[in-house]
Amino acid sequence: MVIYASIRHDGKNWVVENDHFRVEASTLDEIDEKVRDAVREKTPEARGQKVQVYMAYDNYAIPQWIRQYSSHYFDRVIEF
Amino acid sequence: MAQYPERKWYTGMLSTEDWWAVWIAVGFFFISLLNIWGIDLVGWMTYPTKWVFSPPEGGKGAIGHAFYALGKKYSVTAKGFYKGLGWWSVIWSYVIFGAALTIGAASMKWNVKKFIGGFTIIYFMTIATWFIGHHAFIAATKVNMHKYGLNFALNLGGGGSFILALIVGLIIGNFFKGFASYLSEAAKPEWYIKTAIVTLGVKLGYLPIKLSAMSQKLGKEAAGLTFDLFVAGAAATVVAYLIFWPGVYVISRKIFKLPRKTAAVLGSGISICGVSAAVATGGAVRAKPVVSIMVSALVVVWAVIELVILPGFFTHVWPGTKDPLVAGASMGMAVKTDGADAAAGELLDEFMRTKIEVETNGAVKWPEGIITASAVMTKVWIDMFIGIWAFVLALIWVYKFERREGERVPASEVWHRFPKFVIGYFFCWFFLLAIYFGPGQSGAPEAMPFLKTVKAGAVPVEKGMRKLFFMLTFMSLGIITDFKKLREAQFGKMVWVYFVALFGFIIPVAILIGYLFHHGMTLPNIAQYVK
Repeated sequence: MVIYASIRHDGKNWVVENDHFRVEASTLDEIDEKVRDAVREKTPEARGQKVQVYMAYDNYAIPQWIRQYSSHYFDRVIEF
Repeated sequence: MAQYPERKWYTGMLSTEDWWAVWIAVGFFFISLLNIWGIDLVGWMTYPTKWVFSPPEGGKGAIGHAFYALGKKYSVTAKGFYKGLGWWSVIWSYVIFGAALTIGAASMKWNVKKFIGGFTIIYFMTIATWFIGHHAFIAATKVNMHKYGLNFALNLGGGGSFILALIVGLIIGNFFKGFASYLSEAAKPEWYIKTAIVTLGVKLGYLPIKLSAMSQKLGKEAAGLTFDLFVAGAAATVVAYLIFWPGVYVISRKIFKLPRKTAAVLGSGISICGVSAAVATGGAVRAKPVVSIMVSALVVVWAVIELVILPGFFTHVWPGTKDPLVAGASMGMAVKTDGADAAAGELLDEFMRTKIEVETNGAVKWPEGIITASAVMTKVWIDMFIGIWAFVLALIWVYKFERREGERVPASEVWHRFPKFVIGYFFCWFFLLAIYFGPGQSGAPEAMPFLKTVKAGAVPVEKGMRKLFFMLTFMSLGIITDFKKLREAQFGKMVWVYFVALFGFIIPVAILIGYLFHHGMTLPNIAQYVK
């Protein structure tokens, strides 16, 4: 099962969100843990299945003057 | 605004400058091809010519003719109409290019009202500097200054206009910051230069057609030379990558003791391709975006400093007119943003062509655009490699340095980072080459009437549109470049890493690699075929 979300950095924390959950943490290790918990809690249909969370970087979080040079930061995928 | 859906291969086609550079330039290129069927819809594109306040009797340079529609010279079917446009071609170009760019800006969800206001001001300031820069005192050479009744000229060719546009932009960007902020919605050097680079593809494809009109042999030589640049540029870029990145990374880590992630981002920013690479690497190593943003600000400012220094250095100190393509290729590897590099290449092109003409008293003239192409070619290869490099770096980082359970790197990253404007550049180039080798019969005399119709469309795009977008780039680069950024304390050490690495390592190595792969490549002499 694939779950889509966005990821960005607000200057202090990494923030991952979609229509069902929103989590934030200062490190990627912590955010991955919180994403796993949030998926288990908010997405019952994912229980017992192999889940892939696709996090597309929200490029609106990059200043506009930089987007003309590179519109893409990174996308992450975690599986559990 | 958050976006949740998976990024598809076509994501961004209507929402990024990269793709809009392709749509706009390729769009005008296709419209230009209608000339093959006798429909000239691009002859209105404006172009300046040298002028003086009081032209000598029977001489050249009336102010009334300082701008003209290129169709006046090149159109096959509408020469009379375009001849009548004169200075009105400036307005035609404003309205039509402005409309095309505004459609792009609206599609990218920019503030359209602010964009139109900013673009209008930037466009007319650009036209004003283009006009002033073409005063014969600035643009004429000692070979042709007598035609304008002058005994002395600065010998700057079209380069004077570029320098003026940059100076005006820098004054606004550094002394009128409120005004610069208002213009920022339309001050997009990367968008303008990417559009200009796609039209440079038209230039490369058109070059054999142009020279075939002089001699079929010259046309074939030009096609071969551009292909040589293509191959040499690729080889030089790979070698540069292998030397630049580890070198800067080691300088940052060992001499300046920067953290590993910062050194990686800085290594890419200085050594590969500036802002794009810094952003790509920041993402690859999962750095907080602020690191990439800081490096990006440094890159933009240093690239403009290089743009000011290197064209003059390469023209008048080394290698001079002996090895113009070594200079061009080195420029592509040394200047770290597409905008500043292509702009520096264009400036170098103007300086070199003017210098060789003056040195030989008019006995040697080089076609315009090839030196620019040599600077852009290495840069385009670098741009294409950024995605692959970022992907490799992400694999190393995610699977070795910062291994996290379950994380993997999607291969689609390579495509998302691919510079899309490069597709337009190669498309236009190879499309025209196909016309040249196909129905153009490699410039055979019997195909010349057909090739003349292709020329009627290609020239306004590769000359008028390309130069205008270069001018817009110079002006916009100046407007967004605030030298105060270098003084801001938070950059501290990074400013010095950049300085040491750039001037002590990158530029010398770029020159060496440029020399190894481009030394001995010569430009065709077209002096006997042009006035």
